[in-house]
Amino acid sequence: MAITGRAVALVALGIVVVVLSPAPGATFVLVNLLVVALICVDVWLAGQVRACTFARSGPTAARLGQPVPLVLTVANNGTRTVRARIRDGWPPSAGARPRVHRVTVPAGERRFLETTLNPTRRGDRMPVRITVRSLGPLGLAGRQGRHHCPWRVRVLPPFSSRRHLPAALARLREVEGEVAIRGGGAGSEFDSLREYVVGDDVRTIDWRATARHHGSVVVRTFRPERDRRVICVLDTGRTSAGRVGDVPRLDHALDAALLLTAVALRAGDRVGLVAHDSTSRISLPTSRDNGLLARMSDAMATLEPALVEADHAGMASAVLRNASRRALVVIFTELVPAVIEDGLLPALPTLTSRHTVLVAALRDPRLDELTAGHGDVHQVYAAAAAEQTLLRRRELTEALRRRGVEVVDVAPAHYAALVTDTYLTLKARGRL
Amino acid sequence: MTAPPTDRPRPATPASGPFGTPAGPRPGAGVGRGGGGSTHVRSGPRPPAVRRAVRLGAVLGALVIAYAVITAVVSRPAGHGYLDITSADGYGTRAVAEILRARGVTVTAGEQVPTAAPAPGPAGASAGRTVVVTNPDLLSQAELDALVTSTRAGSDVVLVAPDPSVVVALGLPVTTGQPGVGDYGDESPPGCTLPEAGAAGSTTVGDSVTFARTNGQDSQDSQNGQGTPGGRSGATRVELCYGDPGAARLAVLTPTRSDVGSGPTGRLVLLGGGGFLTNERLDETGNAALALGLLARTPRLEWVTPVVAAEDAVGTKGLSELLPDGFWFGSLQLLLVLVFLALWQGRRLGPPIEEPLPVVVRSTETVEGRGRLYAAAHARERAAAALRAGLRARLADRLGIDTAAAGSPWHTRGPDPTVLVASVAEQTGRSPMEIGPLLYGSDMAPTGYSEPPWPAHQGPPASWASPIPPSPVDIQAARTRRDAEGDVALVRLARALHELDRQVGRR
Repeated sequence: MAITGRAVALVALGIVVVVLSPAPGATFVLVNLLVVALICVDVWLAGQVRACTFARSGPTAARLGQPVPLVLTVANNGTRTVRARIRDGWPPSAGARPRVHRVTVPAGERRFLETTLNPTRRGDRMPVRITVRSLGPLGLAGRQGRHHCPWRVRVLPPFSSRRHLPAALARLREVEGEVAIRGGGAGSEFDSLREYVVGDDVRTIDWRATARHHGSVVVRTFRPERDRRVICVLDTGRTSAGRVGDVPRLDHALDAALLLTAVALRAGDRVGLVAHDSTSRISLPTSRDNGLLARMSDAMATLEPALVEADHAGMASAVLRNASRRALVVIFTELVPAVIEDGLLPALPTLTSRHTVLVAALRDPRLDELTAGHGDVHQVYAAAAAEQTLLRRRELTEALRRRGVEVVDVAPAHYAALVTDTYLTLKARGRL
Repeated sequence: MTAPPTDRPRPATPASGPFGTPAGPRPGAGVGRGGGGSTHVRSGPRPPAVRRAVRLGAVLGALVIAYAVITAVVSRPAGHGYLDITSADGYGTRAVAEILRARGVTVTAGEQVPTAAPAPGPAGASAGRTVVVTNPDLLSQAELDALVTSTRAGSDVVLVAPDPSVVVALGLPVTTGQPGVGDYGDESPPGCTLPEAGAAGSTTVGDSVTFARTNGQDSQDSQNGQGTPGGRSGATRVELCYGDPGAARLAVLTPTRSDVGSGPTGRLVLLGGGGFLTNERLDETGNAALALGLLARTPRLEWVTPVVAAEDAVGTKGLSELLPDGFWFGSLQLLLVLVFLALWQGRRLGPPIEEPLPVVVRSTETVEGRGRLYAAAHARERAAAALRAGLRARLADRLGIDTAAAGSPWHTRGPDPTVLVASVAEQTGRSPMEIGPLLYGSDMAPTGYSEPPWPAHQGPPASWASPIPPSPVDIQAARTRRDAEGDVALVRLARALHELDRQVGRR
């Protein structure tokens, strides 16, 4: 049961009546008995909450930033009209609007309520409960009850680096030699034979084929290897919780991994995904089908940073399990001494012995801002601390490069693009 | 109000310019927040919001005071009150006063009951006076007693619409009551043997209080054997006129003591209301005749209108007595409204929904924290080394100089010094002798010239040479000054490095 503001207003009106009445005591009792009686009658006449049934429909997944229109169907199976205020309870990060629906459902009919979600975070969003307050005909009071109608909306990573996709694909075509440029496609995989034209590398002349082919010189053409393997490794340990700009490092990494996957799939490579902190969180085997990107987004949606130190040895063995053949292992992690020196470097030999390793680290632009500070003493000390951090990163980068690891250390604006670019460069060089 | 200045940026040390000489010990200048410097902060000007609030409060206060003064001046009673003998309004009583004056009665108005009873002159009517009190409940017990005593001396006392409290205080043998709802100001016959009433006939006297004899008084002319005013024993004759004996509108009490004398005794007249005396109603029926009969018995008339209640006025009522019943039930209803309001607002439409939030921290928090630690510890050498090493690495990158092989700690590693210095000097056009110490120096001085740890014009602190060991306060002060100057030098170095960075072409 619940009363409304109208009942309160009625009681407040009683103040005037009581004060002006010649017999205030009796009026007081009378007025309030009347109000209580009216409230009781109103509650008695209100439509039954229990007789309602609810159903939902709408999308179950959406990228972050897209609104999700959902429809909640309320059916009144009772004998009285339900004049209800209905709250469809979603967690705050679902951004459900409107918060409360006002609807009148005559007996035996249905009504459709539109709730639009504007999620503010990745992950699964589930409604908690539906609260129904059915008011009586006077609008003084009503009955209140709840219903449960499960649903799940999976909010996928925004994949905002999609805008880099055309440029990356253009570079990919260039690498594959589909675009007529001097030098043709690079790579080491034999593609076809064709006649020599001026400018071809004389080393590519196939003398045996030239001998068979009367009158003209024949060269071999090569193309980048296809059907190579790329494994994205996400470090979801404590360093991935750091916020760079407005977004955690992990989300930047997801974005870059999605772009890399999209390009690699177009390039005909197989892509797998490993997310690891102290335990394995996600392990998608390498695959080449078109549904991989969607599966990957889906798996990434619920990934959250864990406040634990990442276990790089475990990560390496997860990668080795996932990739039986030679692969490009892209490790999305952070260049801090505790992670690299204590975790990654000892685990690296097992990876570099069989695979090509690319460490993709995100550099916080705030560090560069800090190094430029020279306004007062505190800024200078902060600049010194930032310089020291950058020097340590540089040192770690060198240590990794000495072990034959490719390193990307770049600001968020170019992160995804540069990771993909590095992949394409490696592919062009035939290092996959 | 002194809190905000602590968070304001402190007066910046570099105010004297990057190459200015620090002029003597400046307290607080450049001292790190965590250092041993003075924590005293000057109480700065109030923030604008506070100032605005203070100004608004002052304006409002001035308005309230002005309003109070103006109303006090304007609303002073100016002779237009109810039963005022100077007022010609409908509610004034100037008419009756003029008639009485025309009859030779001296009418005087006052706000105080005449304290000294008139000397009992020669027994006769000329010695008496009549005192009319329009608001008897504002009088104190003593004043009322004096009035009653004066009746024994031959004065007439007329109390207009006395409160029950007045009647009780005087110990009169009458009780008061409320007239019936429809009886306000209607005409009624005398119904008693009082000569004045008989002469006046029907009047509209009395409209707010009625009188009845106390128990045991069944006859108009009975002797009152109970306590009389002031505790003096005596007998009082009570005459009730106009209306039933149980609800009379006029009561005349006459002491019947033997020692009063032979002359006409004074009497105590209780009027049920003063409405019939007003200018508006004096000409109705027998009102004027009754008024003259009651007020013109003596040559002098004192018209007393108490304005301010005496400190111990018998009619003093608490706030609760003054408020009507409706107020109390109204308050109860208001309480009920609050209860309903609480019930309305307290019933929410479903509980708040919890949400597990992921942990997110700012990525550079540790870096900035380390910067603050350096500042607190005045780690100038380390900071300078880091700034130089960072700039060396950046310049080497920019100029395409290969960094030397690693293996050594971060602050000693980097490109070949001679190559770097030469390249930078070539790029900027500055002397290698200048660039070298700037990039590879080991002290704060940006140009290789090392300053003494104390200001040059002061010389070493006297306490250093003093045979007397320096007091801890002196050591603290010296350390604070040295820290401050070291920080100034560090800022100067940082600016010089920044300038070099800019010259080589910062991207």
